[in-house]
Amino acid sequence: MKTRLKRACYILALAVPLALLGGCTAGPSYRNHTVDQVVKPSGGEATTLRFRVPHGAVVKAHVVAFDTEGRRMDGDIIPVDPSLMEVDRVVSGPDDYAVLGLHPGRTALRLVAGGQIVREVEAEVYEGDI
Amino acid sequence: MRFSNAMRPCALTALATLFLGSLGCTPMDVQNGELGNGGFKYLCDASTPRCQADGTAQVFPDAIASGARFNLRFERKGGKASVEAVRPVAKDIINTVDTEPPSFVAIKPGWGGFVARNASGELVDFSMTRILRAARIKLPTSADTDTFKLTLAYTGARATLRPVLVSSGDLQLAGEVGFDWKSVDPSVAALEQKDRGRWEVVARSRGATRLRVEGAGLSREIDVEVTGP
Repeated sequence: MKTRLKRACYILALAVPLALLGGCTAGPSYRNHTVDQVVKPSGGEATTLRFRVPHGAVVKAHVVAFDTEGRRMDGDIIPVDPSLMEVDRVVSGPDDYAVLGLHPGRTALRLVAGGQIVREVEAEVYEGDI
Repeated sequence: MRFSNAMRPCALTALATLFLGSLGCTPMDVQNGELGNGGFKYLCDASTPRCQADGTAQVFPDAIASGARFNLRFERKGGKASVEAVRPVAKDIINTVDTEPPSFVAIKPGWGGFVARNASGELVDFSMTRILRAARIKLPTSADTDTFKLTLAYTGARATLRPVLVSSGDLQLAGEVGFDWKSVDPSVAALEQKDRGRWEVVARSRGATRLRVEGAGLSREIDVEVTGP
């Protein structure tokens, strides 16, 4: 009985500081992205699921990453194949991006939040009607 | 208030400017950037119909001919100095020619997107035009049909030849292609090149002949008749 009580005390003595330490360092984590204020030519698309840009054209969007407490996180967008799609920051704000359709093809965009790649969305450059 | 005949065009222009200004309209020679940070101007020279004295087109073109050379300038809103570089989006549709200032060549039909960047490389604004294949060489006159005949009334009479390219939908296409003219019989109608895109035909003697113009992989023949002595 005594041994069991002793063991429980040891476990508690270790677990409580570890739990406290964990609680202090983890903080809020990534929750979601929003995509709005989209400027696009006919057929172009920018959503949290997919980006579609006509070949030779540009789609602009306001893309923001939020944490679990609803606060904005520093973000970025990285094209998986930069020979098909280019992503530029727009002078109007830190979360405004322009996606340029360089060559037709399918690829993906990596969405970054707090310095980590948090999700990947489908991306396509297509031959648009002119 | 009454205006004299000489004053009337000035007064109308001033009124039109005031009216457009009050509506927040952009002059037709500027294509507003999609982000509202400035506008793109199409640069031209005397060879372009409706080119203004400051070297910009009166109307921003709806489309540019594939194979043509052209130039654009970005002007930032608010009259700030234009430090931005303009470059095309897709190099296989529009390529940059390394000249000073840089000019562009339309390679093939498609969306001709342009981006303007600031000195830090951030995108300031963008705009799009269309690159279309030319279907026909046209003289910019309402009388220009397939059976169009140029008539010169007397020896020594001159007419300016400033052809343009049009799409299959008869849309006038901008861009410099470099036309080459030849007269079948220069003793009746001779040709003189005035600048890169502008030629003059001069009546030399009474008679009829044909002029042939080539450019952008197209050709066209025009009948000429010198009717007077």
